[in-house]
Amino acid sequence: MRERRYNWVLFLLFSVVFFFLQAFYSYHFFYIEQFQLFIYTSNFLHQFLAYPGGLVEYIGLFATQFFILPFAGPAIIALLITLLFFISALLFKKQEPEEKTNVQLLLFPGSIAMASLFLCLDFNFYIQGILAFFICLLFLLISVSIRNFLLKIVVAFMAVLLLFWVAGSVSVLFAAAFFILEFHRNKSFKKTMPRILLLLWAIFIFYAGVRYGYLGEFRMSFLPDMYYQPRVEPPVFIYIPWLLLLGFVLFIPFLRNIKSYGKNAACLASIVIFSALVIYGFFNLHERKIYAFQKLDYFARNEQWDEIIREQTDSEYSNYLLLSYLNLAHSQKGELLQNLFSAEQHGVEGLKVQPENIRLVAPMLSDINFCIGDYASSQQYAFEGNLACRGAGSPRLLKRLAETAFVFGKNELARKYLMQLAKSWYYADWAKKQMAKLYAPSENETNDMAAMRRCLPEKNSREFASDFPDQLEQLCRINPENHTASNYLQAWYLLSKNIEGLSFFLDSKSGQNSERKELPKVCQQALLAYYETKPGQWTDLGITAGTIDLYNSYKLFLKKHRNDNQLIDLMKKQFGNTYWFYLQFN
Amino acid sequence: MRINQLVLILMSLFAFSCSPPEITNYKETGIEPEIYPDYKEVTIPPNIAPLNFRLKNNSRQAMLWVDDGKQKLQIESTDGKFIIPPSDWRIMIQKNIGKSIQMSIFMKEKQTWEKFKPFTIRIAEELADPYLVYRLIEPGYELWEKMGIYQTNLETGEETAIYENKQTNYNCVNCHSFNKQNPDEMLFHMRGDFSGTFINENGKIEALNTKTDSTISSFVYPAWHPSGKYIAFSVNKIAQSFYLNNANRLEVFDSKSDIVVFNRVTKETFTTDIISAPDQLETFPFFSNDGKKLFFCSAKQAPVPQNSDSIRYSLCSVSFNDEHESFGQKVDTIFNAQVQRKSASFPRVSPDGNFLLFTVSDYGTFPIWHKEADLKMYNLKEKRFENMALVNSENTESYHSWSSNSRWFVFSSRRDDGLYTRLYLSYIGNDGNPAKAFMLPQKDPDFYSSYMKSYNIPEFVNAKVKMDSYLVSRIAKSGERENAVFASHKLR
Repeated sequence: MRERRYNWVLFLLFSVVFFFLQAFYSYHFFYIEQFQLFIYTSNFLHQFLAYPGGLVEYIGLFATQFFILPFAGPAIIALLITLLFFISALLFKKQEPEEKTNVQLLLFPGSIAMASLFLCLDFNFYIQGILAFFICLLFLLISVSIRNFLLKIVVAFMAVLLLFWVAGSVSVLFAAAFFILEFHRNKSFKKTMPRILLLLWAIFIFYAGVRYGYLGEFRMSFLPDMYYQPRVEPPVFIYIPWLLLLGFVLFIPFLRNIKSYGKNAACLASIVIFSALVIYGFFNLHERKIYAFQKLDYFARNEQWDEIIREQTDSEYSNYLLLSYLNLAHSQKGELLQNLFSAEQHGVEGLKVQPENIRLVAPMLSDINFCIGDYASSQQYAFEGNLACRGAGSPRLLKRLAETAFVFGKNELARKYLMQLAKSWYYADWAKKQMAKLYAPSENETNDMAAMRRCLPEKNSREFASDFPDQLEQLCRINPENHTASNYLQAWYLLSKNIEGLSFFLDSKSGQNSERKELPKVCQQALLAYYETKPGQWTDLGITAGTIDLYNSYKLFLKKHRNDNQLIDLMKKQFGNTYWFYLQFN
Repeated sequence: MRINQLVLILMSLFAFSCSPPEITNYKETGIEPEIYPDYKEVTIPPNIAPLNFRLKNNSRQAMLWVDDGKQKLQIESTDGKFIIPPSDWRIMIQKNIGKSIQMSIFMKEKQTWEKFKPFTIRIAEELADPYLVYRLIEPGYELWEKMGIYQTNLETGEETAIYENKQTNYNCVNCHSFNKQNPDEMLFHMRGDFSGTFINENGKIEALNTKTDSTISSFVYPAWHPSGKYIAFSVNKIAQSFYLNNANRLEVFDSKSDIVVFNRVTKETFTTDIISAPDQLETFPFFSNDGKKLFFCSAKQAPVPQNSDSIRYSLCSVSFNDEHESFGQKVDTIFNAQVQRKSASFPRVSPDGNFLLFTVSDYGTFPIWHKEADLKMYNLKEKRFENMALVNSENTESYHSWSSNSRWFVFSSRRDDGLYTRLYLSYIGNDGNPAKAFMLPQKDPDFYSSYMKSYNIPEFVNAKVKMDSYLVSRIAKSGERENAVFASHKLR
């Protein structure tokens, strides 16, 4: 009966975690999959076998490749968390076989599982850390279950070494937890000495690992830092599961000896710990803050531009990252200027963010540059973004590297990237199709490629790439038919409030667009504001009667509400999608 | 006795079961096999690991015979890859020093074997230095992640790390250099976190802060004086720009550069107008083997990046007196950039003093990103340029270094895919002509096609480098540095 109840607990835990992740973090898993490609080659495996913790990293990468599938990421993590709960519950139960402390037996493993779950939501934390932690608990359970002391110690010594190579720094955690558990069991000097030696053995192994260059730094060797992006300072939270394990193995045996009042106190303490973790997790997870970005990243990767635009109506795009994606989406649909002020703009950085945190923004910058026809810069960001990835790189950026190599006519290089993708599970078919196209492109593909190549300056030109707005001017000069670059440039002039520049550009050859029936509304609005005192020129400038009427309404409304405290809100509500509002109030 | 017999029988059975059946019936196609890496008609040192290769665009059942006329190795392949057992290879090579071996490839086509046109591999008498040191890094633009300096044992192909940047917070490590080919005298720089120049001399680590108020930058490109007491460095103000559409992805240029010489005993840095002229760019120093001459590259300064294509470096030399720490007044121009309309870089004199190997490109100071960059070799005795047709390719050839016996040199080339640099070795024949270059072999012939790092700055060394990387990282993190001092009183 108890077993069945326990199974229900496990099932419930799995379900709750799965639904929680699926409902609130599904795009997080799609996102992290993009930064760690797993490929099926022996060389790939060998490279992970060559250093401590490599094998668990390999398994982590293997598991992560399935995150591309809907529901798979939440399901895998939910399974891992449930297993973690299960194994830690078994471990605690082993220490406290009596039934009296049922609540703690659920809450202590629950706290460990909860803390580990929150770790999985941190983009910089690798799931190999959870796997390693699980393996450590498994080894711990096996070791402490052995009755023969000598055999137990021998197994523990071997486990430390094995864990060191297979899973990395959890080996130290194993030794420490084993020491505490066994010390509680028997405190005689004769039996304590080998346990102390085990601790020293673990420390020695890791010292040797660092000393002989297998591991980088001590921080990475003894702590869960090994499972965190090495270039980022880890948050304190990554230590919590380890500390919980050590804390619980330290205190659980005391539960045997305390009376009922103490047991209630312990129960209360465990509830407090559990609750504190839940509250801390919910309120301090910075990953939640970039979840909107991860979501847009997914849509952009899959060219679901309407989804990006739809998302904007649901939530305000208040930062440059989100705005850049929104503007890219409008641009991809050929409606950048028409919808430029459908969202509140905050300056030119909303067109293309600054490459400050290159590891985060490289895919986006690569996308934007690809869209405007600067394939060299697109390639550069794809390359640099790919550097920061684990495993065999980023599938998305490898695709981009192949595409740009193809644009530049470097088919051998394109083939190299495609070969890499062809060795993966999910991207193999795509890569093989692309490889076939390399040598026998269809007429449509040839036309597409020709269109892309028209955006390039003549071969071996000495033109250097630059940044907005020079980059856009350059692209428009190279190919006056590059309307995407032209629209971006006009948007740049508008957002930088450089109407003179816009006017000058519209007069130039690059600014003309034969496909366009009339000047985009926002450009008309800008020109009208700039040439307000020269109404005689309005028609020549392409300003329509509708725009003039709207401007008159704008001025009237402004005059009417000039002294209203809510002026900005009122104007925004009425004219928030006009350039005049942006010009005047932003 | 019975046991011995049994063992013998078992061994024979085992050997028999492992040996592929002899091909007796085949058709000669007369077609040259297409293989990767291309090891056809190359000259190799007797101390090199097996030249494993694969058939290009073919993964059918195939057979390779490695034949010296007396003995034949048979290597079977089911996927087009030929992996030669190292022990068999070693025996075969050792037996044929100074001779050639023939490689015959057979391919099974509908139950019949077809034989490609055989090719030969010549085994030179002269050994190459047994270790190659290089940096492995993604050919990135501005960022990097993991990088390190590594060494490969030429004989076994085993690669080990000398220093990896994971030990110092993933900083940049670069410009490793040796005094001649001596593994016990090595230096390299760290950039970013824990920056400095680190010199390893027989296990003793010296850490230097090489930025002075009187020099343009910290030390950059190094060159050891054979005495070990001096090291010449360039000091450069380097920038880079990216092309929109050019065979060369980007241009790296110096807006300023000089050459200085560092005295390791006094920690003084000194220079002279000839190698630090205000309107000139001087870079890539290299000492002659007797230490009496300093080779360097020099160009007239021009505004960059706009005029970077007009900057061409001549290859020059000036005499150096180490006793007085002085330079001569006369500059010899070995390669005149204005006349040749080319730019020279990376001068390296062979240890026997017979050859000067350098890189030429159309312009600029960084041939690594120049597709047209080639190696050029000047015969210092005969005063002529050697034919390098078997060494150069249509793609970039750039950094290079000599083996101790001057019969081998290694260089980096992007010829494979246009981006990722790989290492190639070439033999200098008695006539001074280099033989066809061949790629550094790997255990898996497909290794390079999926390997995403470039091999930078290959250097031959005559034994294994035994630098204590942990000690280096501790010193680097301690921040303790000896300061290089600019000796303005020695400015001559």
